[in-house]
Amino acid sequence: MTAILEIDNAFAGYGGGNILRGLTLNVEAGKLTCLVGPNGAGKSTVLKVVSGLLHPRKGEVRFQGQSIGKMSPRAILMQGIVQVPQDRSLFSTMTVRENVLLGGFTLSHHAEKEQRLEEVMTRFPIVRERAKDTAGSLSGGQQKLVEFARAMMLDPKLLLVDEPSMGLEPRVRRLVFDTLQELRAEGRTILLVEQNARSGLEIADVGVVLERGQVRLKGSGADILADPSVGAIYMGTSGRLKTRVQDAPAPTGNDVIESAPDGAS
Amino acid sequence: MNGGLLLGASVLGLLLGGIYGLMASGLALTFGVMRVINVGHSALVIAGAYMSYELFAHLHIDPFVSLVITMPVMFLIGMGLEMAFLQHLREDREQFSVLVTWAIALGVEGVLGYFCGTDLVQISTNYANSSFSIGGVQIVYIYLYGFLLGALLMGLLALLLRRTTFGWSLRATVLNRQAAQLIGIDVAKVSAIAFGIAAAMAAAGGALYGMLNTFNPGSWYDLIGDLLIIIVLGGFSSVRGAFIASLVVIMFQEILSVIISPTWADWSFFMLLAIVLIVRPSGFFGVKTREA
Repeated sequence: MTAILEIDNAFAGYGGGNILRGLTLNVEAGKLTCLVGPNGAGKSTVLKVVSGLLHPRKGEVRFQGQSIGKMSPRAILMQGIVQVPQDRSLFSTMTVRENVLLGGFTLSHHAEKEQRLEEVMTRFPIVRERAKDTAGSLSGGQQKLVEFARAMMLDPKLLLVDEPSMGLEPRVRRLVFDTLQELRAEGRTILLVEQNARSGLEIADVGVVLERGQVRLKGSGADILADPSVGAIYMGTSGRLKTRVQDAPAPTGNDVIESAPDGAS
Repeated sequence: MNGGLLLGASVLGLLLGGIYGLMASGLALTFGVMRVINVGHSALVIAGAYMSYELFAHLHIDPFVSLVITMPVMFLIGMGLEMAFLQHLREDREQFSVLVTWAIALGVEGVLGYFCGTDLVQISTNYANSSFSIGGVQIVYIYLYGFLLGALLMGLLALLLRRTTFGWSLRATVLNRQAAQLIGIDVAKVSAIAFGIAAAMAAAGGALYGMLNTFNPGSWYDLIGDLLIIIVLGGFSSVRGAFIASLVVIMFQEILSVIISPTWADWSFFMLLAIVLIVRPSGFFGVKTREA
C-alpha cells in the first residue's frame, strides 16, 4: 500500500478560525478516494490545502515523500497535482481549444503542448468537436468535461476533483461520474470531494467521511456506503453517539479520532 | 442651432474621448485583473502630468517625447505600489482596495505637494494653441495628437493581450482568478505587471491632461469621478469597453454643452450613467460571469 499523498495533523482555515482541525489522511496511488461529509466539514478545504490555494497553519502535507505544504499553487502543479475546481471554472469568453491549451500553461515547449492536446482530444472528443466555440456557450455538463480535459493536459499524477456534480441535472451528473470511473480504470489517482455522497462512494475505492475538519470514518467505498453511522454524521448527531459508544471526550482539535481501521480493507 | 458648431463639438468630443479612454483603460485593467477599485488611479495621472511638466519646464523635453521616460518610471512605481500595498489584500478585495488606494492617492498628493507646490500649473508647449481647419471645423493639434496617442497605446495593449503569453495569462486571470492560479499562472506577478501597465497608461494620460488643463496635486479629485463612471459604463473590467465608453460619454458631454449649456454638460456623466444602469446594468461591454 503506497500512499502518494500524506496529510498529517493539518490545521487550516480563513480569518480567525480553523476549518481543518488536525486532519490526517493518506491517499493511495492508483485509487479513487472520495471525501464526503456534511456542509462545513472541510472537504473542499482539504483540496485547497493540497493544491496550495490555502497553506496549512500547522501540520504536514507530503506528496511522494516531499513536503508541499508551503509551496505555491504553481510549484505544486509542477509536481503533478492538478485540481478541477468547484463550480464552472472555464475561461468563458475564450474558445474550448484555448481553454484546454491553457491547461498546459506550464509546459515550455509548443510542440509538447500540441502533442498533449492531440492526446486529450482523442480522450475527450468534445474538445475537437467544439474546439472553436466559446467555452461559455457549452452546457454545464460539457463544460465539466472540458475542465477534465484541461486538467489532463499535464497528465497529472494526482487529480483533485471538487464537487463535479454541483449544479448539474441528474442525467448529466451520470456522465460526469462515468468519466471519473473511466479515469480511475485508466489507473489515475483521484481525490474526489462530493456532496452527493452516494454517487461519489459508489465509484470510489476508498471512502472517507469528514466531520468538523477531521476524519471520522475511513473504509472501502462500499463499506462506508453501508455504514449506518454515516447518516448520523450527516444529521450532526455523531458527537453524542461517539461519546456514548466510545466514552471518548469531545474533539479538542488536537487529536484525530478514527472509528474505522485505517486504510482500505 | 448651428450645424457647424454641432459637428465641431462632436469632433472635439471624439478626440477628447480618446484621451479620457487612455486614462480610464488603466482603471478597467486593474479592476479586471485584481478586483481592485483603484480610486487612486487619477492621482497617478496627476503624478504623470507633474513628471511631464517638470521635464518640460526644466529640461525642455517635449511632453510627447518625455513619455519614453515617464511611462517606464510610472510602470515601476505602479508595480512597487501593488507589491507593497495591494498584494497583501486577501479577502474582500473590492472593499478594502478602495480604502487602500484612497490612502495611496493621498500619499501621492502629499508627495507632489511637497516637491512641486500647490500652485496651478500647465504644460504650455509652443504649439499648445495651434490648430488647423478642416471642413469648417477647427481642430487643435494637441487634441488630435492626444487622440492618436491614445489609439496607438490602446492598440498596443490589445496586441499585448491577444498575442503574448503574458496577455493570455492576464486575460485568464481577469476571467477566473482561481482557475488561472490552478493552471499555474502566477497571478501575483500578473497583478503587479498589470498595475504597472495601468500606471504607465496613466502617465501618458497625465501628459495630455497636463497640456489641456491647469492642475495641482489635488486635481485628482476632479478626475476620479469621471473615470469611475466611464468604467462602469464600459462594463467595469473591459479595456475596450472603457475606451469606447469614453468616446461616447465625452462626445455626449461636448454636444450637450453646445445645444443646451456647459452647465448641463457637467451633469451629462450622471445622466448617461443613470440611463445605462436602467437599460443595461452590466454596462456597454459587461459580461455576466459567474464568480468562482
